[in-house]
Amino acid sequence: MIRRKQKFLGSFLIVSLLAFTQPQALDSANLTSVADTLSTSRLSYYGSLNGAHTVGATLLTVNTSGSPSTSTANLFSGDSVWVGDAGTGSTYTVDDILDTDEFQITAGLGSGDVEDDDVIIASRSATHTVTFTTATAIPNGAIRILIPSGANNNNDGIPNHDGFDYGVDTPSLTAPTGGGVTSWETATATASAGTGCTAGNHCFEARYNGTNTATTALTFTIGGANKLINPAPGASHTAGTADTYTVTVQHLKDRLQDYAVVDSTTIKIAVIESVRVTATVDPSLTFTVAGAASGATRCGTTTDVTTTATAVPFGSVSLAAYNDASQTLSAVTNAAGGYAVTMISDDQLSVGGDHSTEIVNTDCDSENCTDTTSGEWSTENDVSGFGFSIQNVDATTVPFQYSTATGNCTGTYCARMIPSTATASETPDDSDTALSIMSKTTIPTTTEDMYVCYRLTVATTQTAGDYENNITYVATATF
Amino acid sequence: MKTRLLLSLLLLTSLIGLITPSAVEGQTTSLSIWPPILEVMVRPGKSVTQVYRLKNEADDTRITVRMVPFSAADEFGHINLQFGGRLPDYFSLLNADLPSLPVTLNLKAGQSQELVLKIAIPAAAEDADYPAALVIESKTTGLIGGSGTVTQATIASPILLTVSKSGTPNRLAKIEEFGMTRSHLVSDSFDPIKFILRIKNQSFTRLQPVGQIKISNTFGRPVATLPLQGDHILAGTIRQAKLEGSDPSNLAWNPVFPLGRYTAEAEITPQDTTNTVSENIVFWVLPYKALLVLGLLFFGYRGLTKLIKQ
Repeated sequence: MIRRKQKFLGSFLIVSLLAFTQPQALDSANLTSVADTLSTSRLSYYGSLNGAHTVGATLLTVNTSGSPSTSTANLFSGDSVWVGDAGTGSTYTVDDILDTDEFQITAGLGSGDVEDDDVIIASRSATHTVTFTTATAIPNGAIRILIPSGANNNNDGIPNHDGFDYGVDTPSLTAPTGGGVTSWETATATASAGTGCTAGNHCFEARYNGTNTATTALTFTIGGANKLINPAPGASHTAGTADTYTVTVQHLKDRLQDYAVVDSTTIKIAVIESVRVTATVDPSLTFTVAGAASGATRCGTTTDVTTTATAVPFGSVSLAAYNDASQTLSAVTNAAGGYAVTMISDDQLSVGGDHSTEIVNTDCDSENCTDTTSGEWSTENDVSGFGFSIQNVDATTVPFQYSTATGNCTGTYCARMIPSTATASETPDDSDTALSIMSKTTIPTTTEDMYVCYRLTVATTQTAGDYENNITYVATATF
Repeated sequence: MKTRLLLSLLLLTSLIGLITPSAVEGQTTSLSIWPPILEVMVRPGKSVTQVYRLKNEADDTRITVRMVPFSAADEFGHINLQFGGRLPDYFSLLNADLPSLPVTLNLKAGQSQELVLKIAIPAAAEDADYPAALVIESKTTGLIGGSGTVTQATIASPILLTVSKSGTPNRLAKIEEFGMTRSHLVSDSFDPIKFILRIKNQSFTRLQPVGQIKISNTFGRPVATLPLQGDHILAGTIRQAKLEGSDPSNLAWNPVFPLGRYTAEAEITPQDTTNTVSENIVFWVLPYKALLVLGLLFFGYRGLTKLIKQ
């Protein structure tokens, strides 16, 4: 009896010792190098209107309590914001942030979007690039990513204050590649509380065939055309302090083992307001008139005269010949409506500016150009006349160009009379309106330039004398 | 003797040099003004001040500063300065070192000058617009001998001044014209669909229209909204609408292969009012150019095969 007892105890001791010396391999381990990189870590914006606004209002005041977003922090010029309520709503563009509770939109509020407490939403969607290194070789397994969801209404495309919103459309997915497996199946996404996905997280899964290499670096991308929507500020959020959420990366067994979790690692991701950097650029309008040395090629001809910013001194002109000169006009503004430069003279050229003995404005080769109609002026140089043409450098809009063959122009030297404020001493010298010679109705991207080319011909029968007139260029912003 | 002759020649040359100096004129005139445009609404009996900053970015020059009334030159926001026009005596300079307007002063190259403009509205002033511009004219010198032209660079900053007792004048807009830029109401599916929208301000003060063009398809389903830029429209004038940040000629819808009957509704509300006006047009979009080409190819092919058979 005692010997049997001793035998049993001895056997038990040996088995115990064997168990200690040859322990079973553990099934679970941590995935390593886990990271979830968001394409933008900006919080979404979810605020509300403070008080009823008027239709057409562009200045919006936000509530400073009662909504996830309680200031204009994290709103930026150019952001698209949706304003409205359950009934109606429209998307507007943020023009400027005025202070902590006021911002401006580019177009006025519509009639259904002006009520007190109407919500203001600017959602920020991000692609999650999840990278990790597996720890275990598992045949026919799967990778699953769990991203925290909001508790309620977490797949309606509206940001939640307590998690990521799934969006209205299923997020785009890119399954891992490689890793030693035979093939990867199409990745699947399930919103929180959907089939096989426990409430509290959105689930993203990529299954594979074959066995993965035990330690292999993989990347699972959630987002693309459709993305998860970043949370709005949390209930106890402090501006400038990140809200953190826990993302879980799991390596699962195969279907026959109900995709049981083998390895699992959690990481933290942070979402925070972007920092608004502001600098004021004063709006301004700059206009330049510059002279040009003789011998320059302008409007297809070589100029004969050196001009300054204030004078086009033809001096002693050649008779029955073209006398050409030019100036450069430049304008730039950052005013929203752009700019316009106009041209007007006080009269035709007259002796000493007496408005009596004149060199008439040209009517071009075929007597068919006026101050509003262009005509070809490249052959008739034995009749007195004064006119101008334009060579555009980079101005957005000019009324005509010397080389454009349209209407009465063949495109050698297309010209016009210079409009004049003088009363009708000679038709069509008849109180013209100023001619817009360069303009742009939006903000130019750079200084815009053009050459004004002056042409003077004097008949051999023209009365001797010094002829002159005044031309005024006016640059203004467009209202 | 020789010395006296030399001295006399030197004296004569110097005198000639003094009495006929060569013209010294700037090669470039370049003026900058800030702000380039100003919108002001003032109650009668109140005043506002605005600092203007003027900079000479080129050679030394002499400038004249004056206030000039303006009117709308066209339907695109350009101004027509009315030199010699009458303007109420609401504008003055507060600079202690400058006399009243108009004022002439020298600006050296690179020099800046601040002008403090005061706009004071008398208590009895009526609700109205007083469009005026602060105009800076560069001084020109006459030509010295020979024929030529004197050119003057002028820069103007428009002031959209509205006097209103209430601060919210009643603003009324009218859609003067809404249609397609083409005369016919059938567009090609491969062309942008261009609209023209002209808005008239029927009130006594300027307004900014807020609105859009909504486009619906054959089934009445909205397919596009074109937001309009809220450009100023002076009292009693017409302005062509444009898309935000675009040119009036680009008031267009660029869908991918539209087909069928569409309805476009222009809806305009003057800012800070509920006076909404709207107008609808119906238009058709068909790929008629492509159909024409296909038709020509078809009939050409048939004709050719007939000829070959014969």
